[in-house]
Amino acid sequence: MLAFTLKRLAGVVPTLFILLTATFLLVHLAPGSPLDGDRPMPAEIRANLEAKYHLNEPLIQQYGRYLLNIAQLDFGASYQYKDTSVNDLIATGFPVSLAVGGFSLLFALVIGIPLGIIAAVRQNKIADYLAMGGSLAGISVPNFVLGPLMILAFAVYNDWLPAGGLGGWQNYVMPVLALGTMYLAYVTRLMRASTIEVLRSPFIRTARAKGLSEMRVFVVHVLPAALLPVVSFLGPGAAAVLTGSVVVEQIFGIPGLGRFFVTAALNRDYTLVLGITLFYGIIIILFNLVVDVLYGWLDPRVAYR
Amino acid sequence: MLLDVNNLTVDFTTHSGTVAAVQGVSFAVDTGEAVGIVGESGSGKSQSVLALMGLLPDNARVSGSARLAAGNEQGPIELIGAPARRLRSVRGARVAMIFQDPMTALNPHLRIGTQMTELLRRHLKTSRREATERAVAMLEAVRIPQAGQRLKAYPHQLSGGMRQRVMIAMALSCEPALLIADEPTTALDVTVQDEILETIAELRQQTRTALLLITHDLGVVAGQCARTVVMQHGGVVEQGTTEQIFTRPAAAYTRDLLAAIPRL
Amino acid sequence: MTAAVWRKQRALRAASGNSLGRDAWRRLAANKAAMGSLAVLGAITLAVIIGPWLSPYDYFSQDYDAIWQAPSLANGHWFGTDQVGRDLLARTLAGGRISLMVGIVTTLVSLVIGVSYGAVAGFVGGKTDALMMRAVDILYSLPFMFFVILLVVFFGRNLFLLFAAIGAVSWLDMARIVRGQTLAIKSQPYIEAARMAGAGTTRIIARHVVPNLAGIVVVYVTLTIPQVILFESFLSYLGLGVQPPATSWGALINDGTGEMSIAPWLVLIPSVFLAVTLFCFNFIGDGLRDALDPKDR
Ligand SMILES: Nc1ncnc2c1ncn2[C@@H]1O[C@H](COP(=O)(O)OP(=O)(O)OP(=O)(O)O)[C@@H](O)[C@H]1O
Ligand SMILES: [Mg+2]
Repeated sequence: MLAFTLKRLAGVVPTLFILLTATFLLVHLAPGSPLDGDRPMPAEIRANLEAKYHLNEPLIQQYGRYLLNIAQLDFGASYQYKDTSVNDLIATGFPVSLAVGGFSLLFALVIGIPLGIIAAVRQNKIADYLAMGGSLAGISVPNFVLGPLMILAFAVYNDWLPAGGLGGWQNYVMPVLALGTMYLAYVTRLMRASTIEVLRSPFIRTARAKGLSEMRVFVVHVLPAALLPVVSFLGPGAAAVLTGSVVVEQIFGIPGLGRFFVTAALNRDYTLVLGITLFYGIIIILFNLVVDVLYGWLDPRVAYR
Repeated sequence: MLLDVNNLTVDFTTHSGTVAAVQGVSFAVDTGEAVGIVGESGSGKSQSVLALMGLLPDNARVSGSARLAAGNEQGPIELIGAPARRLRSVRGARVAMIFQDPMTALNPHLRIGTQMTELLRRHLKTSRREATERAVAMLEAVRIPQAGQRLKAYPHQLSGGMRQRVMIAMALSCEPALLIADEPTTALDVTVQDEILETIAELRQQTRTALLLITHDLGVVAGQCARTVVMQHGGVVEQGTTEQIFTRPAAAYTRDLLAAIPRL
Repeated sequence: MTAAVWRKQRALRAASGNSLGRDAWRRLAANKAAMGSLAVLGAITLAVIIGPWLSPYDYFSQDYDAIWQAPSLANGHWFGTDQVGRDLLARTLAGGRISLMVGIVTTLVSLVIGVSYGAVAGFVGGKTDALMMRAVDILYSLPFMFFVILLVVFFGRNLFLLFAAIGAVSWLDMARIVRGQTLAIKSQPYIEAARMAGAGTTRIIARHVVPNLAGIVVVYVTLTIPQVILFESFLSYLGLGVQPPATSWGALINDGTGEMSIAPWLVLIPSVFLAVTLFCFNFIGDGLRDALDPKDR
C-alpha cells in the first residue's frame, strides 16, 4: 500500500512538470508582450517594467525563476489589481469557490447514491424510469441555463431566495442546485449501473448462498463494490465542479476564484489568469492523486497490480 | 432420505418469451451419499440446484417440491416456496454450495478471513475469536499452508486451486448435511483438479456430508459418486447406481456420453 | 464537462467489442425515445440550415422601432426581439448554425486525431505505445477548461482557435479506445496473414483496423458533439467564445440573462434549443449504447 502510494506520488511529478512547462511556453509563444496596453508606453518605463517582471532575461533563466517561484507557491502580482498579489486573490476567492463546489458535490453524492441504488433495486419499474428520465434531463441542462431559470423562478417572479451575492445559507441554495444538478444526474446513473452490475456478479450469489441476511449482503458485499465507480468519478467530478463554479459564480455574482478568473480573462490580466490556471491545475492533479490512492485502498486488486 | 426432489420445474420469463430450463426433475440424495448430475451444457443442471437453494434471479418461476431433512426431531422442510427467512437459515448451515469459478465466486474486495468468519458467526453464533480459530482449522484441513496468515489475504493473492480450497473450507465449515458442488474443477488447471476432488472426498469422510456433484465429466462421477443422474434438455434421462449407468446404460444419450470419455 | 468526458468513456467501453451489426440497428430502430430524438434533431438541423434563408429578418440588423417585442405571430417576430430590436428567431437559428457547426467540425477533427493516434500507438506497440499513452494520461489530468481559457486570453478570441482548442482536448478518449481495439484486432489471424502477404503497417491500419471501429466511432460522434456544443456554449456564455456580431446559443443565453427580468424570452428560447439539442443527443447516445450492449438493459 505504501509502495503503491509512493508510486502514484511519483507519477504526479511529470504531470505537474508538463503543466508548468506548457503554461510557461504558452505565455511566451503568445503574440505581443503582456506589457502591450491600449496606449504606447515610453521606452524608459517599459524597460523598467521589463526589468521588474524579468522579461529582459534569457528565456531559460525566466523559466528557472518561474519554476522556483511556483515551488514556493508564489504566483506573482496581478497586472490588473496593481498592489495585490495573485496569492492574496486566491486566498480570498478560493474558500468561497470551495464552499460552493464542495456543497454541490456533496449534494450530488448524498442524493445521487441512494437514488441510484433505488433505481437499480427497482430496475425497470416506475421509480427506475422516473430516476433515469429525470437524470437524463439533468445531464442535458447546463448550469448556465439552469441558473438563470432558477433566478427567474425563485428570485424574480417569487421573492423566495436572494438572486445573488453572499450572505446567509439562502445565498448558497441556488448556486449549489445549479451547479450540483448535473453531477447529481451523473452520480445517480453511475450508481444505478454499477449496483446492477454488482448484484449480478457471482460473489453476491456466494454471499446469498451463505445464508447472510439481505442487509448484510447489501452493506458488506454490494455497497463497497458498487461505490467504486463513484469514487473514481470524484476526480473528474471535482475538476468539473471547479470548472462549473466559474460560470455559477458569474451568474449569481459570487466573489469566488472563478469570478476573478473570468474577469481576469476578459481584461487580459495575464498573471492572474496564469496563476489561477496553475493553482487549479495543481489542486486538480493533487485531488486526483488522493482519489487514486483512496481507490487503491478500497479495491485491493489495484494496489497489487 | 436427506433430500427428496420431486417434479422440479424452472421457467424463465425473458424478452423473447418463456424459457423452460428445468422440466419436472426428480431425484433423491441419502444422508452421507454422493450423487452425480451429468449432462451437456444447458441441460438445466445448475438451475435445478440453484432452485433448491432459492438463489434464482427474479425472472425465474419455480414449482415442484424439494424436501430436506431438518436434522432434528421435526419433519422435513419444504425448500420450494419457503419463506426467505427459513431459506437463509438452511443456506450455508444445512446445505452449502461451491461454484465453478473460484475467482469470481469469492468477493474480491474482502479478505479471506472476513468471508469465512461471517459465515461461521452467522450460523454457529460464535465469538470473533472462535470463528477465526475455526477458519484456520478449516484452511488447514484443506491443506492450505500458513493458514493463519492466509486469512489476511485477498482472493487475487491466491492461486486458482487455492481459492477453490478456500471455497471448500468455507462451505464445509458449518458442517452442512449436504454439499452442492457445481462443476468445482472445470475452471481449474488439470493438474489441480484431482487434488480438489480428493480434498472434498477426504473431508466428507470425516463429517459424513452428502455430496451433489455437478459435472460434464462422467469420469469424475465414476470416481466420486455412488449414484448418478443423467440430464438432457431440462429433464432426467435416466438415473441409477453409477455402476449400472456405466455398465448397462438404458438411454442412447448416456451411451453417447460414455463413448465420449477418453479411455486410459 | 469533464464529467461528460467520463460518461463517454463508459459508453465507449460498453460499445467496444460489439459490432454495429444489423441486430444493433434493429434494436436502435425499435427504441422510440432514440428515434424521436433523431427526428427532433433532424428538424432542428434543417431549420438551422435553411431557416435563415426563409426568414425575413437577419440576425444582426437592429430595429429601434421594435425593441423588446414579446414573441407573437402577429408582429412577425415569432420569438420576439431583443433590446436593440434584433429578431430572436433569426438569431436563434444563426446561433444554432454556429453551435452545431462547432460541434460537428470539432468532433470530426478530434475523431481523425484520436483514431490515428490510437491506431498508431496500438499498432506499433512497445515503448512507443507506452510513451504515447503516458502522454494521453497526462493530458487527461490537466484542467483543460482552464487551459482553453488561458489559450483564448493569450492568443485572442477567434472561432478557429475555439475549434482547435476544443478539438485538441476531445480526442483523448478516442485515442485510448482505438488503441485498445487495435491491440485486440492485432492478434487476430487475418492481420498476421496480411502481414505475411507483405502489407505495410499503414495499409493494415487503413484496411483492417479502421473498418472494425465503426460501432465505437458512431457512439463517439453522438456523445462528443453535444459535449463540444456544451463546451462552446460555456465559453460563449462567459464572453470568451464567439464574438459579436456572430452569435451562438451560449452567447444568446448570456445576452438574455442580462435582460431576464424585462424580457425573459430572450433567455428562455435559446435555453430550450440548447437543452433540447443536448437531450436528443444524449437519448440517441443511450439508445446506441443499449443497442450495442443489450445485456445492460
Ligand atoms: N436467467 C436466465 N434467463 C433465461 N434463461 C436462462 C437463465 N439462466 C439459465 N437459463 C437457461 O436455462 C437452461 C439451463 O441452464 P443451466 O445453467 O442449468 O445449464 P447447465 O446444465 O448448468 O449448463 P452448464 O454445464 O453449461 O453449466 C439453459 O438453456 C439456459 O439458457
Ligand atoms: Mg451450470
